[in-house]
Amino acid sequence: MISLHPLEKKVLKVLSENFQTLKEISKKAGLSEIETLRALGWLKNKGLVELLEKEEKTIKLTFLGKKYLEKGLPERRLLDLLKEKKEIFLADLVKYDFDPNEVSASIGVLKKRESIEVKEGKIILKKEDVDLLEEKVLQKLNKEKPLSEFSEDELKILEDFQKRRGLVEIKSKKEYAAKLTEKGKETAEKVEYKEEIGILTKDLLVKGEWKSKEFRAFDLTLPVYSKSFGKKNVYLLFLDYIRDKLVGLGFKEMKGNFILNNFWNMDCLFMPQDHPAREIHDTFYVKNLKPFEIPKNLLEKVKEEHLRCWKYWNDEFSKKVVLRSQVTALSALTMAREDLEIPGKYFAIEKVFRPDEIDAKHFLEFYQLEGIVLDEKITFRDLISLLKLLAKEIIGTEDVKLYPAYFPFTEPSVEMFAKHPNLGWIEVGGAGIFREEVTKPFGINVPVIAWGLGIDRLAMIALEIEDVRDLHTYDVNKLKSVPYSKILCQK
Amino acid sequence: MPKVEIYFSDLKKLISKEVSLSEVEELLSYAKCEVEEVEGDVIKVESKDSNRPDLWSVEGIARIIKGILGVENGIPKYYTQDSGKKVIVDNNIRFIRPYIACAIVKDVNLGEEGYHSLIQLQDKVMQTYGRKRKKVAIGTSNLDLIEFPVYYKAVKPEEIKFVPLYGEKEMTLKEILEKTEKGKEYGWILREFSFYPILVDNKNEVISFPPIINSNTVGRISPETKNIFVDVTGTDWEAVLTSLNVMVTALADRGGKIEKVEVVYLDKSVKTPMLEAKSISLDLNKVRKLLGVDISNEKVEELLKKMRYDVERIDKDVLKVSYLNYRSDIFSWRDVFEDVCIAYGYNNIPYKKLEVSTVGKLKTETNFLRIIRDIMVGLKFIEVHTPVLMSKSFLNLLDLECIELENPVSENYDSIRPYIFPNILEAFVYNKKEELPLQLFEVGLTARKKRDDPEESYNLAFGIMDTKTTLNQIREAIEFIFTNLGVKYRVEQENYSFFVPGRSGKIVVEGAGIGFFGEVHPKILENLDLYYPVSICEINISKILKFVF
Repeated sequence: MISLHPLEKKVLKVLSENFQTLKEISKKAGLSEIETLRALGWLKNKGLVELLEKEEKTIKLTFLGKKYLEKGLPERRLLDLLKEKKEIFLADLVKYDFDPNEVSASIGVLKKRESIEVKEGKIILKKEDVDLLEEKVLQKLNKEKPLSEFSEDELKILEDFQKRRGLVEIKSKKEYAAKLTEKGKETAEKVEYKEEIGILTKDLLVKGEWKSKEFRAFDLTLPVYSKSFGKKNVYLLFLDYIRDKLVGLGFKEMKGNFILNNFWNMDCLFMPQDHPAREIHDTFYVKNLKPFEIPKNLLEKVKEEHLRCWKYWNDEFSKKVVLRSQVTALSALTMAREDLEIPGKYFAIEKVFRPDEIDAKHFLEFYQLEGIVLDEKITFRDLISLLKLLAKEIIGTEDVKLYPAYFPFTEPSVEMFAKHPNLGWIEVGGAGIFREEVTKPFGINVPVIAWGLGIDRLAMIALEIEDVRDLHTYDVNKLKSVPYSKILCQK
Repeated sequence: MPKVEIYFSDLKKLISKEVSLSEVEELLSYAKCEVEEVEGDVIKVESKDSNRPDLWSVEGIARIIKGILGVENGIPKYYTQDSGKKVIVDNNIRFIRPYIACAIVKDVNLGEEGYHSLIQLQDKVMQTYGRKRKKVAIGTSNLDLIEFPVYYKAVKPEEIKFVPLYGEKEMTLKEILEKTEKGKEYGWILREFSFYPILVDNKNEVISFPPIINSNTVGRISPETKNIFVDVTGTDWEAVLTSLNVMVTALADRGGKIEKVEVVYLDKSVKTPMLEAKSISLDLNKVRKLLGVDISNEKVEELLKKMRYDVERIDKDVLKVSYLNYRSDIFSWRDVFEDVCIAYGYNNIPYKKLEVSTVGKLKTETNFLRIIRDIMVGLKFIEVHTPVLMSKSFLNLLDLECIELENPVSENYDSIRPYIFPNILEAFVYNKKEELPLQLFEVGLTARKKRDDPEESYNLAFGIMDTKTTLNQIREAIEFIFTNLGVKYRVEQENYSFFVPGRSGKIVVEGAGIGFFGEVHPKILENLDLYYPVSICEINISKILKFVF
């Protein structure tokens, strides 16, 4: 037995082998037309009824059309005026209360019937007796009529009325009729019209009425739509997931200001102040902010290293306030802290800012993942091994290639490529041992290894995002539809 | 970093050994070059080290590859002899562009490849190492047209006229700066001076106008030029000498014979180029310790020779390591150590478990933000993540002051957001056709100006847009948030220009204002073309955190 909704049952009961209109059916079933139509739709899907759908177009006058029906069409009024005057200047028509918008249409109608001609700005009457079909059509529209009641010629005029003159509007209306199919007939005979429980209510429970009734089965083939529920941002969830991985590997999180001065962002990382990469195009500078205090001792030592190796230093430049352009600045701030732990492992996933052309590959702000390890016994081999471990833990691959690289603050420096199951070799990050020129001014005398991974790139791969701007999307539909499980796709 | 185009056939000729294209990628990595594109015979590489101008040419790359392949090892050998020629430096150049070093290279076989490489190297050295020609500029001229001695001096901008390289008519120095492409590009270097540098020969023929352009006669070379005069001028003597060394060694690798030129300053006279070995001592135990691999002294010596160093054992575990002074990147033993690692092969270093045992931990802030985000999701809000950079004009619409960027790249992102609720409003605008109600929130970075200091904080902003929404919905959410955070708070009536008067308030914790909420004023909604009511709340999380912990 097919499971039927109470609405379906009510409708089925009143249907017969002959077509009945929707109006008739809904009246007999005691339902609204919308409810009836819904039930008919379901029944049709189950093959129990045959549903006919007929669309009928009707036409009726607009406000302007009604006005003309009352006052007469402007072409009739123009003809009457000409009968009296024989000829008239176009410019004078306004005086006789003609709407300038309608003048050209009226002249067109009369010219077509060779009733007038226009010469040197004057309208001249040629023929008085004209048969104006437009007028007949207008009068026929004293009430809404189906389009089928109009002749071919009349339809042409109606088209002109609708499209060019805005005198009429066409409405379409759907008519429905339904009858039982063979299968429907059989089903209808078997239907038990016993009372069923749709929604279980408190009343039914308290009074125990459910005991004497049957529960209506729910049709699980009907679709449902998820409404507005809460959801975390999947991109941020991905970053959280990576943070948790790093905590699992024994790293402590670092945090710090994103507005700082050149000194922390680059100078203390041994990046020469006159280096082309430091020009205005690569860092955002901030207006009218006071520079931060820099520990004097540290400042002097950093300056000394710059002067020794780069032979260039500018105090004012060092003080300029910028937006953090690399998370390594956070490592520097951490190394300057009094509670720095040696041995120690630190990491940060934080935002950095860089001026760039905005396109599918570049946005002005993005996250970077960086970590440092400080220990007397740490080696380059440890760094290489750590990179391999990160590739395994974060990207899920043991297939990595390491290349020599260059970063101003590390020596030796290395770049890592990893083989992604779908994308092939991708560049995933860089690393190195901080130069002694970097660590010494902080009073650190053990090797410090530093590594960074392009975390946004990894997020885009995990979330299957192709345009980097989508990481900052405003689109609620996109936010709702990305499955959480995507962030786990990297083992 | 410098991008260099090399010809594969040319590279093979220079390393005098047959290698396949598939081997080349790995070989190039020893010279810190990454292949970006291969197009027929042309290999486009990115040279990753901005302090190694010696690696920015096919000749320099070939030098390293020869070492790796065992074709040659140790310091590359270059012979120089005296040319007996002089360059006389006028004292009046002292405060403008004080240094010059020159060289003569004879019998070079440039050809198309060599010419292309030379011009490219010259350009890359000037751009990156030479800080866009300010620190170092290089000229290459046709030696056969020069009558020595050559004079380097400062002249008035309109004193001398010559035809600039690839130009058609004579121009004064002033006109060159104003009218030629190079003049416009590099004129800034000379802007502050009333005299300009010039290099002329004994017949007063202009060789070059450093750091702008060469002359079209003497100062022009072609693939057929055999004898070349190289001049390097600049503001840093060491950098000038290094650049000259980089240039002449590349030319010598193409068969050129290097000759010294005597540069006569007022107070001294030097013969350049000064190609010589410099040295640094290397403690082999330190190398072993930092590498983390047990490697013999002999192996380290062998690796260093491959990377074109000479080595000499001066103690049981100490080496004297010498290198040719086209390298200016060696500040300490670490720079030599890196070359040991590179020659050993990064991919040959075996995996080892990390032994540094530490306790991992998130910042309290991070945990706190997570809790807040969990609460918001429980309240059926969807989390958005929007940019920290915002448009000032949008913030002005809300009467909000902000920290502005000095060099924005777009008006849409020319300021730092002081609050997050403007982003929430933008999100409502973006999603106004979506199904209602819309409940959005964000926890993120903000910064405001407090006197002249920036005040950064993590803020929470959330908002509701619906066919009808009242302040109570927001207040219910606030109540739920603070109950779950375990923080006592109260609200006080307070008016804000962006809220409907009388329908807004501030949130107070421990006597301090830490947030605000209200119904957004219809004048703002109208401005944003939003025709549904919106209520919002903004809370400074960093401040609450201080009270909780």
